[in-house]
Amino acid sequence: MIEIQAKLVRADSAIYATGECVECLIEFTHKLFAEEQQKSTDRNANAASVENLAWASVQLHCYRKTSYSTPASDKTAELAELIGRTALDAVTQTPGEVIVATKPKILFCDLKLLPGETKMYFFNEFVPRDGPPTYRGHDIRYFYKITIATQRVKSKVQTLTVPIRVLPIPLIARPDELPVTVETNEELAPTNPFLEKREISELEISWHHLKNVTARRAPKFYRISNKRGFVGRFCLFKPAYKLGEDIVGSLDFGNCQVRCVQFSVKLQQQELPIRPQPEPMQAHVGDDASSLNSFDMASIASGIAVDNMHKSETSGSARNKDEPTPTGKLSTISTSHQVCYATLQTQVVVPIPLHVTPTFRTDLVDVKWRLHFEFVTSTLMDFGTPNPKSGELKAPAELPVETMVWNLPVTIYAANPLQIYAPNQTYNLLIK
Amino acid sequence: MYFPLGWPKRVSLALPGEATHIRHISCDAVKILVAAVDSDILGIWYANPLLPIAYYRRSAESLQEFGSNQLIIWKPDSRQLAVLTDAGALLLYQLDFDANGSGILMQVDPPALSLKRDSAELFIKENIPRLSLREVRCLKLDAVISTVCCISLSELLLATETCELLRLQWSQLETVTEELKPLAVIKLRDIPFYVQQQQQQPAKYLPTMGNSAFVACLEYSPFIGGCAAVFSDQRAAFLVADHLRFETAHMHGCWVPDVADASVCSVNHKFRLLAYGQQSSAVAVYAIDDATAGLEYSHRLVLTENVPPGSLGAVNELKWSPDGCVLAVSWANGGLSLWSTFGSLLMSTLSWDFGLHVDLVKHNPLQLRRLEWSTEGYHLFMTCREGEDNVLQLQFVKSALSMNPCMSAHSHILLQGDDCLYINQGDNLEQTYGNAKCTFPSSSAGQNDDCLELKQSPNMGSILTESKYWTLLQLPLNYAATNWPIRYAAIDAAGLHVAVAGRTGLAHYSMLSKKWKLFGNESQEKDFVVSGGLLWWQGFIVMGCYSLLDRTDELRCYPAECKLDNQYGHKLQVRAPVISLNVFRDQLIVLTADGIVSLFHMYRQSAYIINIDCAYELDVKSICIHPACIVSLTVTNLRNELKPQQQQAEAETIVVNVCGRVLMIQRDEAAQQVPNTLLATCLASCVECFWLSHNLEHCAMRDCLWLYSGAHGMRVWLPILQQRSEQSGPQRLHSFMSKRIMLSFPLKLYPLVILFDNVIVLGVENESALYTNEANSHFALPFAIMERKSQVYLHKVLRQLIKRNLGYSAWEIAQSCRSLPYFPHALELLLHEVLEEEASSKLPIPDAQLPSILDFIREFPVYLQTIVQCARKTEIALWPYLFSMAGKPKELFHLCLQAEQLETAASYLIIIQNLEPSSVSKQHANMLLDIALNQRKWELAKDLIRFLKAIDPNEIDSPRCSMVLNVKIAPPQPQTQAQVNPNADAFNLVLGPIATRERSYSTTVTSNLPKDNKQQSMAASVERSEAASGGGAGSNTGAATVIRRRSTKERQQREIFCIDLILQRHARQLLQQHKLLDLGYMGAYLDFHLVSWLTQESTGAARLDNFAAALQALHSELQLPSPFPAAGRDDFAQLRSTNRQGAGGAGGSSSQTSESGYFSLAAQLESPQLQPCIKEQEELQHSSLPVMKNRSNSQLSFDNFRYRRLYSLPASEDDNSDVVASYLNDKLAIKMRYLLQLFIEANCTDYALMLSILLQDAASISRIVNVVIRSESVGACRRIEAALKQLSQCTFDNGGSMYRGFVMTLQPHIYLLEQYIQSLGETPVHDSIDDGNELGGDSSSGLESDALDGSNNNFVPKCQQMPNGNQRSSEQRLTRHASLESKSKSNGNPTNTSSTQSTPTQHAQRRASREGPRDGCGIM
Repeated sequence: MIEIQAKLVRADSAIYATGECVECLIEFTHKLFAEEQQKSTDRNANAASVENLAWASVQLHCYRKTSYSTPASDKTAELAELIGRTALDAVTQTPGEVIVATKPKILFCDLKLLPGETKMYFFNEFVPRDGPPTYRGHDIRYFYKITIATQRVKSKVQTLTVPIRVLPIPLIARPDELPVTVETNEELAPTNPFLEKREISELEISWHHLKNVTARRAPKFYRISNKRGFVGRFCLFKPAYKLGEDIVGSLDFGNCQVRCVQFSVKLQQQELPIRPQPEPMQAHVGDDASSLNSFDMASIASGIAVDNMHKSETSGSARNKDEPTPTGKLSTISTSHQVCYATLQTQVVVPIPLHVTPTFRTDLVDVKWRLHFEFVTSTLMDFGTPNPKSGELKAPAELPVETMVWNLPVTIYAANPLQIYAPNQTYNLLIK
Repeated sequence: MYFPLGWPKRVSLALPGEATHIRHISCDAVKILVAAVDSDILGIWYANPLLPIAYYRRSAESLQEFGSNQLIIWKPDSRQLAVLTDAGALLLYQLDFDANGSGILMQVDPPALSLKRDSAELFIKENIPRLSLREVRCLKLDAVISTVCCISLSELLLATETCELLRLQWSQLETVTEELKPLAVIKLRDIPFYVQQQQQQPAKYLPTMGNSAFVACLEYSPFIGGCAAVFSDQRAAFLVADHLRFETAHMHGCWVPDVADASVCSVNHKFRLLAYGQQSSAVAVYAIDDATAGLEYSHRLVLTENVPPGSLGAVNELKWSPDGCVLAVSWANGGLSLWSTFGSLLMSTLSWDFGLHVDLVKHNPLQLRRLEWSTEGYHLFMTCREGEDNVLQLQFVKSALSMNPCMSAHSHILLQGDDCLYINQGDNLEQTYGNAKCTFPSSSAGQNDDCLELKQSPNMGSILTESKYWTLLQLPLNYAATNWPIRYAAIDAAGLHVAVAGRTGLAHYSMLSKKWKLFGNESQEKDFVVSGGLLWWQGFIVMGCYSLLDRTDELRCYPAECKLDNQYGHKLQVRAPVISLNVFRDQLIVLTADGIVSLFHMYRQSAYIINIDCAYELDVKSICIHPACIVSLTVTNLRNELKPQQQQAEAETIVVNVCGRVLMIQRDEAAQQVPNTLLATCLASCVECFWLSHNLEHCAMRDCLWLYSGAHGMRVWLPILQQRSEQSGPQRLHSFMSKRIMLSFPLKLYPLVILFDNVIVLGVENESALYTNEANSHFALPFAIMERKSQVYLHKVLRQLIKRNLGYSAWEIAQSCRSLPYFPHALELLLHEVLEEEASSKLPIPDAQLPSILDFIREFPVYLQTIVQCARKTEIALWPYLFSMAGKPKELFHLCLQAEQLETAASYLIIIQNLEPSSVSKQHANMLLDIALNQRKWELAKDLIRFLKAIDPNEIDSPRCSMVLNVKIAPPQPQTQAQVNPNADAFNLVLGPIATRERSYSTTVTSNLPKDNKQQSMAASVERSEAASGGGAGSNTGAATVIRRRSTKERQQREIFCIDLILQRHARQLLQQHKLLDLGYMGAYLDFHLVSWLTQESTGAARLDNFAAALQALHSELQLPSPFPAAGRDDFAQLRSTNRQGAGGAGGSSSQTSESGYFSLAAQLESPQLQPCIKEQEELQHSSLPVMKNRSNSQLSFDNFRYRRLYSLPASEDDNSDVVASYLNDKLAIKMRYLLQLFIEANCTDYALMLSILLQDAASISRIVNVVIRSESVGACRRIEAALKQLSQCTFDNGGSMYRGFVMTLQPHIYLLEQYIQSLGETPVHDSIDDGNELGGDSSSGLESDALDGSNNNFVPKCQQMPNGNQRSSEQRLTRHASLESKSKSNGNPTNTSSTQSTPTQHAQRRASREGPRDGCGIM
């Protein structure tokens, strides 16, 4: 019996960014069990006790499983590609279509293992730079697996799969930005082949770029008002975040004309199909249309600095009446809710969990993030009765409220996989 | 362990639509209601959500008569509250609950659909009670009431300005008509006051207790049985009654001895502490002495960091958090700080970053007056001193340990907020397979390399990682909506399950599935309240709780696997409310409010069923005042003496923390069933939290008790290991020696988790980030964040042990921790601490510890590094002391050389340079340079050269004068540097400041010159070296013309000259050993100008005598197959060469660009991602494993080869041309070509020729030949000619040579040379070359062929005539050895390789030959 064990070198986080190198240790052990050992000692046939594997190969696949209609041409093209290639028939192994596959690497041919003997192999492979991230959405899923396949002579191919999570590192849109991150002073010197400079990999540059993008810049202020008057001022310090960061904003209700009784801020993931899908859109459209009344003024005037004021669309804004923006499939990841009846100034902290998929886009799907605000407002600035000169004042039993909603898009980028704690186990396969 | 989070919220507690200055905020006993007063309004608020319930505004007349509101006192049942006015009157308010009618402020949605609330969280489930507030009575006594405090549900205590305490009942206040008759009037002037030192003897009444003094601040605690009081004359006292009834006869007071400037006081019930804030901005904390019931000084809170002394002002307000774990302190001049129970600073706004424009000393933006903790301590209400809307609410998260001390056994940091949990999982060390030493074959070589087999399995290693992100768990809405806030939180040992308990019920979460589990039946959730503790045990959640349904106290267990439902739960009734619980293995220890500790055994029957049996009960009332004073307890197998590890399944010892005092209750002997409280021994006091280390994998610090005692630091109760020799004896000789020792050491952070195996403590620190500089906005205040921090404590323990002469224990512990990545760093810290302390000590040290520490470190192989790295982080002034103990730096340097630790040796150079005359350091540097060159450590050599050049030549002879100068130059580096990087950067860092002051301009030019003016700089250096040598010669002749002022420059030149000599010597050695690659690296890294040097050497070391041997040597150095292999191995060579096909492309194309030099070639360089040194090794690997690496190269070439061999098809010519360069992989080829260029530039024809042959570059050979001919030097011509001949000879002698084909194309050159030599009229035959006689025949035959050929310089016809003459004979000889295809190749070869000078005919030929293989395929 042969046991195959696969362990990722990064034992504490089975998470990789695109373009990073997956390193995996694969162990082949000829296992002896008690009765087997007995047998082998009885029979003194040495040859029989040697276990033999014809070959083993390792490959990294990205699968896609979707309910979207994909053009048929894709599939045939893929099949055509597969024909005549030396490739594992991994498509049949896991549900889903293979969309990215690395070249299979041969671990060995004709491996002989004595009883109790263990051989260990080292596999490394770059996660394809252009592949999608691991994503588990409503209508589409992308996932990665390392497939270790082996075969005994005259038996069928056996496979062991090791799932890994892949985070997207965006390709840099503007390559002219690149030299900024590189120390340029040595570029001019002629190249001496004996002096090999440490080349800065594209991945490294992408990390730098990411750091720049997600750095805090000038705050942006948004004035929130509805038709009854000014509600408050929201301030967001940056538009792009990394996984695991907190989205920090501040809300200032000072000098308001309409009291905000409570509000909630939700971090929502939008899954937008890129090709028009046959199925009808969700009921969100109706919501949008009817929320016009309350939120027709929910935009933007100058607060402190004109430069910092940003116009923003709201789902119910009149400007969008003609072409309602598709919301796609929404899922709420985290919520921050506060009762702010008595609050003058407060903060909004929305955590971005580490397990979500950052903003990305493939040929089929566009995954975006947004902050969804709901403000519950009341025009009742006092208790409905004038405040007494002396004596008791009781709060009223009821408080008429109105709700307004607002969406603010944010971008979420990947974090360094090493900072995410996700211990992975060892994966085993026993071949009898 | 409270940590603030974010900005404080600003809230308005005024009447709706108004703004006002709030004077006091007070929460009721259960912290559900909040009362706030401004001068005339009393407002009652619901605590969460913060919504107004009722207000009462006083009339103007009332204000006139009784003064404005100042202080609120709640009655414990929340039904009444008293407001004290600044005129000393008391107003009583009644709060009536209006049962009929639902709650208030119910939010009503408008009819329009679009305006309705959508999300579930917006529907507040909390029912805000409808309360009405009315004024019951305004009470004005004869005397002015100075302060009030509530002592029980029925009674309260008033202090008057007549220095009396009046005890009266709440109910007495209600009755408006009756005359007020206090239960007791305590005349403080009549009660005895003691001073601590003279107990039992009434001290004299202090004279200042005169007319004016009265109680200004009063707080009562039932556990203390008295009040803390501050008098108006700033004297602090502790008032206590013999009975619990306060009457003049039974009362006495204690003056707090050292506090004469008290301003406020506060009492901690749980730990029985009294805190007195002082005018001097310090806080003095006193404990109650159990024996005498007097005061006992505990500790003092003084803020020193970032604060100029005296700038804080008096302590303004003190408030213990509801659980007694932290004390909030604010000062008159602004600022807030948070201290743990026993005085470790958790947070201080004075160390926050407020931005540049805020001067905290002049004006602190945070001017606070009153503080009040809200529910469970998750919020702190703060009122600002001035302005309207002055209430701030700061949010906190706290460690789960504060409520649930049984969580101390886990390795995860768990913090709880009011509706969320912060978890920091994982160790400080990232687990990986393989560690820093074991590197895997690099993956950057491209797609072509295959998987490798590893010889041995790499062991589990670990790398240090930066702190990971916090995982934030938000409580599910449907639990949080009705059960806010979190009271208890627990995480299991693996960190995969989390359980929380709020106001009622509980919920748990699985980190793997990322899902919460709640009670399916909501009424079950509402029916019990978790109290006393919550913990995980083998997949079960165990808790103490109170069932609201049965009105009983219970222990409950719910399995995590099933649904949360009572039908799966296990219940066990206990007699009294559970106060605390803990688990050890399968033993559960429970403390109940009746003072009984019960021990239960738990058995897990299946995943869903658990059995709990009571083993014994123990009354602990005798060891504590009240069971609520027991902070934490556990059961353990820890014993006073370390017994040999027997299979003791049962824990025998109970460890209890009573008010900070850790008691150990041991079982007397094994036979005795129940531990006896009489045997309790006190181990330590002032303990906030304790940890036990039981079974550790790695670390030797087993069976220890760890205690954290705030300001007193960390303590560990460690068993003393005995040396084996001593152990083996029948019995220990000295039985009186103690078996355990208590060591204490300071910690910089508040420990939340101790990772025993990693000898590290983890904690959280409060940091701040400033978001904007905008002064008006509320986010001008810093944003508080939490950061996980860690601290290694190994060195602290080691030091304490060594200090106590317990070196063996220290060694054992250190030995067990050696595999940790920061172990060397810990040793360094150990040395550094002792060194700093002893070297800077003003007093003579009676017993210096440094020698023993050094001896200790010497036990470990990292000794040399530790010394030098420690030295480099300390002031130079301390070096003499260190090295007087550690050994002379010179000796250590030599030890490093012996141990081949060159980098470390380099670090010692800096020390030698500072402690010894420059000449010594120079000499050592030269020595090291030599070794570094020999070991090919180019980077190191480069740094050493820089070092040598930087030595001021004038200082060479002068001894080091004073250290003082150096201290200024090299300021002490902060010790907190986390890790030392041993590479050159650190070297530069330290070298920099020393070197720059001495470096003169001329040296910097040479060392830092950009490489593109290499030519000039090279020329310059040549000139310089010549000048220097000229100067040297001049001085030899004795000319006294050396001008004084030029001496520096000259010396410098001599220095450089000296370095150059070393380099040249080494380069010569390399050249003589044909180590051309090394030469190339040397030239590149060391700015050694190869061309100029080679020009000098062109007639010396750069001459080659035996070409064949040199080529052979070069091949072996480049790890190429031998150029002249033995016959019969041709197949193998063939296999290799064909496999190289793919790689050959670059080489092939490059041969055409020889004219344009190396620039164009370099452009083709593929980008490697590695550092040069790794690159080099990897390249060698490449060439050493050619077969393995190229297996997956392409299926095609493999097949091609096989077919060819089987069918003996004629190989194509193209194949052949590829073979040429493909012996070298392309990077190597580029390097060789670069060297060739250098050699050509330097006119070293011999080497140039050899490299051209290696590269099989016919064009370059012809160029060399032309150059030689043009040089008109017969000798040179002859050498080249002879060399070429010798090579062809060798090639033909060894038929399988890869150069055979190529060498044949060289025949025209030989001919040309011969012709030229002849034309000069000299006989070519008798040559001085060694093997000339052998070649002589050939050359003569060459002459023959020349005659046939005609005398023009055209090679082409000659090729066609190849089968003639000697060429023919060689061909014949060849066929004897070679197989068919090699023959065919040799036919094709010449035409192809000479194609650089292609003629039309050749093109045609080549085209034809290219078609060859296609035909071959067709045949197949």
